[in-house]
Amino acid sequence: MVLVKLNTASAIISFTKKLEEDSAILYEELASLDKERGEMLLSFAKENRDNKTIVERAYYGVISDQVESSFFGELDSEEYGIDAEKIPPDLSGIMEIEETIQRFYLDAAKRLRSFLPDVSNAFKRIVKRRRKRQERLSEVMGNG
Amino acid sequence: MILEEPIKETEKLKNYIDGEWVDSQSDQILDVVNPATFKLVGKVPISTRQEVERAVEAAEEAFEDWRDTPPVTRARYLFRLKGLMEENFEFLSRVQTMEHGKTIDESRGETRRGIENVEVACSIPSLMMGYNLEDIAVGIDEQLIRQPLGVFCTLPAFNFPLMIPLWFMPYAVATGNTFIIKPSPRDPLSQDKLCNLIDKAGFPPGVVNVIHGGAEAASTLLEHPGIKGVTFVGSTRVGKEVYKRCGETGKRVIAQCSAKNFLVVMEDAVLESTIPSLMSSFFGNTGQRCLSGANAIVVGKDGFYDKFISTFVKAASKIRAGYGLDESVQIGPLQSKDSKERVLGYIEKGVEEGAKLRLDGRKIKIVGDYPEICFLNPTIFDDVSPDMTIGREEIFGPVASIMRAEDLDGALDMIHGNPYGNASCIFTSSGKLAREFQHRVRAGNVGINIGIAAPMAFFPFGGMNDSFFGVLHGQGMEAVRFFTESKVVIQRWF
Repeated sequence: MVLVKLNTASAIISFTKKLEEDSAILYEELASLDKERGEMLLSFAKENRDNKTIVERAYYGVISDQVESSFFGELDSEEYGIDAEKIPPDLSGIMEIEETIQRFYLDAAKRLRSFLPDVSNAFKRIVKRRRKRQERLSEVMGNG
Repeated sequence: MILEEPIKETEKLKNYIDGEWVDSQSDQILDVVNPATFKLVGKVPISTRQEVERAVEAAEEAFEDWRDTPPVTRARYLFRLKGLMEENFEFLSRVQTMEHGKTIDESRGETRRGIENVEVACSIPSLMMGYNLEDIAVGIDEQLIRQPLGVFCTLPAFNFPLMIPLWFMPYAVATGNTFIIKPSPRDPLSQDKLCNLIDKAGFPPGVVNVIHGGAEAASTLLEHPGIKGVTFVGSTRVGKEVYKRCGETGKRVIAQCSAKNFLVVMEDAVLESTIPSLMSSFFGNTGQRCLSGANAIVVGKDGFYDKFISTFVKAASKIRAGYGLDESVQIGPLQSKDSKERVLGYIEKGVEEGAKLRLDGRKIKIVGDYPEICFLNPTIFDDVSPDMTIGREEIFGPVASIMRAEDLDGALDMIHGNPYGNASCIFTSSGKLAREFQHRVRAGNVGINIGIAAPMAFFPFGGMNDSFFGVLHGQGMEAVRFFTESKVVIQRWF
């Protein structure tokens, strides 16, 4: 994965969209391998694409020449990305990936809190959705 | 990530008159150049006097029907325009970056602020309402109604190529006037693209017209008896002239002009949040903004002053300059080579007059392989006094001048010694000091722990002293009043 410094709002939003799309593709792939849980996994993929919309709406709705959209420090994309080659062909590694993505959202939400609070709040909402997803995954993995 | 450029081929712009795209007959054509890549992105005609007059005629003809179109119907055209702008949000934003140089976040911010003005104007049936009183005397009622005046025009500056005309146009047409936009010839593409959407929104021919041109076109509009009012954004020198000529010909005028904005940093300011705000204020839009910070007045003891300077310089030295379509870039180039030359002249003057150069932006450092022609990195001067040229005049570039004052009184004296009064900000944790500042400072837009005091579309865009000429301001209710005249009706029935 190429290291990208996430030092502007635009860079963070692009990275977020890629993260959600990669995540959606991952769940779709997992669904094709796991027919028993396929429906649930596809619903997660759909949720990932909804998350993209939530983020886009928050950002495009509040971006303004008044806000410090480029001056809030930086995050390294390398610490949070999904590496397609490392994805296991089953649910075993998915919890770790979910943890990484949530960590990204929380770190980014903290950075953006003073400057783009709507985006920060949207990120926190997505973390809540992802935590619920984790609970469902735990349940099925425990049962499985 | 570097975003894709939306303009692939250079095109010669046309005028939009009476609902038609018309080739200019002028033989004077200027190049529109992307200041980051220095590649040609468009060609703009400098329209002739006759072409400008044709645009005024078309707008005058359209006025008769448009003023009789109900406000609720006029608002629906603006609703459609808003929808089209949302659909084309990213396209419009990237065009701004290509022709102006600003970063993509800044361009999107500009697009959003433009759309917000269209949104506010959509509520014209409410905003335009007059008022009445039954029985001012027995059996006699009195009412005030607001009516449009005719044709208005705007002469915008280059620094916000999409947004500035939108401070005015939506309100003008929503209230029943017709309108002519003469974009800055330095970056006219944004208005050309916006006009495409105006055309798609289906406004009747002649309600909105775009005429490209330079000083002669502006002069023709100022002199034309068919023009009822002018809105102008640009330098104080030209703004005074516009104001004078509008006075001579009986036109209404809003002239938003130059600025030299002071930001006061008190010792109790939260530096962690203040510094990013100052970075954005001083260096955002590469300093080409009438609300940009120009002079920072630090109030506090030596220890605080030293800490402030070192933190400020360190943060500014990390700013990444480059092509605005590169998402990692935090400031773009200046809009033109001439703009850069002008700013370089001020930096030299600052050195000559004895200010201490703490960060020299002339040592160009940019992300990516682009010509340095229009680039200038953040520059910071320390030990600046308000009477130095760099402390007094508008630089319109990424140059910060740091000053010191003993207390808030001293800071206010410095601010009030300057002829401008566009914006002023204070950074403090003290509500008492903030209130005192708000109460006493003579500036039209005031920020408290805000570095760019840009009013939202539903508030007027202020300005005082040599930064503003006129009575009513752009945006919101003041714009509605500017674009309408009040008529009082007193009636009784026998």
